[in-house]
Amino acid sequence: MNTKKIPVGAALPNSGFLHTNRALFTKEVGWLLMFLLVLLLVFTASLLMGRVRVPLYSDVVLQLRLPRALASLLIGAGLGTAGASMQGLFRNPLVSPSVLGISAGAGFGGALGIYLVPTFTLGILFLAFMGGFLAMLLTYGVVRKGSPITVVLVGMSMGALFTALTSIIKFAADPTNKLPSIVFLLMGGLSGISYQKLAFAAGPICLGVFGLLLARWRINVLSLGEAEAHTLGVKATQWRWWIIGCITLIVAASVSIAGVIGWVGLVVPHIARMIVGPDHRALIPASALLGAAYVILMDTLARSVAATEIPLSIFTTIIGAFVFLYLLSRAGVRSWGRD
Amino acid sequence: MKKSLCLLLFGIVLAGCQAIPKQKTEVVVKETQVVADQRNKAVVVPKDVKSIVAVPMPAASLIAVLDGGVNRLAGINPASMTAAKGEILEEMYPEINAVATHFTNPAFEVNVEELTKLNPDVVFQWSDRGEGLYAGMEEVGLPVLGLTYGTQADLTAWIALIGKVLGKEQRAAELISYQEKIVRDITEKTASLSATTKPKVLYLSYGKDLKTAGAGTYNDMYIELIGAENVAHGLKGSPTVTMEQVIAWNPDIIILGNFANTRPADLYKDTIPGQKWSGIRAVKNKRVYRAPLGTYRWDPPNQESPLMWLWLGAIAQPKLFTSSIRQTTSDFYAQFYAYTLSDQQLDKILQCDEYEKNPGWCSVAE
Repeated sequence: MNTKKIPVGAALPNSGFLHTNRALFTKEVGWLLMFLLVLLLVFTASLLMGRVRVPLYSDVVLQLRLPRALASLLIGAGLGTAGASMQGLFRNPLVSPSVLGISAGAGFGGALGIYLVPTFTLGILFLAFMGGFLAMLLTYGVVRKGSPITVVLVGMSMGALFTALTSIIKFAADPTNKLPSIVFLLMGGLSGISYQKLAFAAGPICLGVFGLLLARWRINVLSLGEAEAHTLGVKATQWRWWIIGCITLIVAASVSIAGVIGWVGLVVPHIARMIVGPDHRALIPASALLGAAYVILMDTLARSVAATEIPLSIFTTIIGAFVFLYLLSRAGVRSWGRD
Repeated sequence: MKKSLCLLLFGIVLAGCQAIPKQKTEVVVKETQVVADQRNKAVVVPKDVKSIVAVPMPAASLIAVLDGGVNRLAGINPASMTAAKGEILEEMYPEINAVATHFTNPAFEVNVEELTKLNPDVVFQWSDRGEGLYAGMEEVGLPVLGLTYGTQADLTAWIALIGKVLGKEQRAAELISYQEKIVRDITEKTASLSATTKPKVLYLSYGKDLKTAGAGTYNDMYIELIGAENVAHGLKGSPTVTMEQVIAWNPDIIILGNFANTRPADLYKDTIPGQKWSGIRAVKNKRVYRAPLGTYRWDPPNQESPLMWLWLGAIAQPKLFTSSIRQTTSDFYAQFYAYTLSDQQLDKILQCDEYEKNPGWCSVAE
């Protein structure tokens, strides 16, 4: 066990983010304001873009585009924040919110809802949400006290289990009415967003994002390791539960209204990290703002580029992968903050 | 102990071997004929076909009506069964309930072992959805006939092929000449129409899933045939469009297909999440219709397709198509199925329950 005493405020080699005396991080704040501006621009632009040319105060904008833009904003901000927190908590650049099996669990809950009560929207949303929580509780129930790697492995197995259970539901579902809805849910997309669904998900996602924002500095510390966290007086177990709980709120709510949207939680934190650095006090808000702008942009493209609705995952995956590869080839893994 | 156990097992196996009945190889000579399917393959089928399996959805009812019964149908697609149950085909041939559907699915994948249990003499399958759908069937010696989807010529070929296999060439020829006559009549009627008088029609095969039919589909063919404009004509195949695209098209008439449960009332109520129907012309003018369902769904290619064309023609160009669709349907059933339709049955076929106001072809007593 590492018994080296770390004086508060000292600069650790290669860490760069324990400068608690640095009250002003003007550069980071500057970037955050920039991201906010970009987000506002992208949001407004998305209301004006689409297959039909309509004025701002029209039904098309207020009833179709606005809910989608708001949902994209919430989901993007949520998934971005959740992804950044996951990567910090697990000290692993390859994790995303789906690694704990939450998306798969929520997908299973949603599929079950559609299979049992296809017309009761609220019921389906609720079941999906509960499914996500169930997956998280089962994962943690199995792991209890384990290294992050163990948690990730168990989470992936749990995810695989729920995916398999979802396949059983798909197999049994009525192919003309229920199966297309289930497949649509699992593929991920915002074309079925209504104000009702938005109202359902807004609460949990906002709570989750807010909770993660509160935990920013603790994530910094937890990302150093358990021992270091203990030394610095941060109660690792409690905070880990808090963070996982917030992530679960966000992911379960997102999947219940928009299905499984991949790559956002993985790529957005990396992009944010390459711009604002690994300090989570800046990284978490940055991931939220960038994530929101990213998903709004992707969704606007998905619904405007062609007469057909291109599945959102196609955009998030292809564009996300390209951006990711490009940035990695330029910056390498320096910004991760380790040697 | 081990040695005696081994000896005991050996003894049981020997005894078991004696118990296997000797299989007599029988040689049965069946009369066969060679037919060319739509893959342009020469397939050897028995002359006297006693048991048919039809995987494509429209094939089941086509076989039933050409044969005058379902006695020779051993297996059909579950989606064909849903178009029959509770509808006129079940009323005409109640034995259809006994036909097997578990061996295939709406994606036309076949469980070959289950299929062989049905002992079919011939199997019909789609020719244009990949080789994978044939996997195993031809290897076990089943004659498989491929059907191609798309044009009126294809539908004519199906009727002719099925007629040949069933030994009902004459009935098939009658049906084909009826269809061709109607095509000629309609083409004459609509020859002098200009583009400005053609209403815009949107066909949604799966209702609120927004799957429509573009150029190259059968639906596009008949929408254009009867003097209307298919709003999706610029797209190819059967793409799924966005709600905004539907709003941009702003169709005059919307036809909801019979593959899913969306009804005109659902569009009028406008409560489908993520969709906005109230601004669309067809919804404002209450010109949303559900395609009729006779012995099969009228919207895809089927034996009653000419009736679909006339029905749609009466909606889109009422001045040109003046004859009563009720009378035409009644006459068709009498001529081809030797079946008299009651007023109630006609109402059911023409989906009269879906309309609050009589659209013109429903019985007045409501």
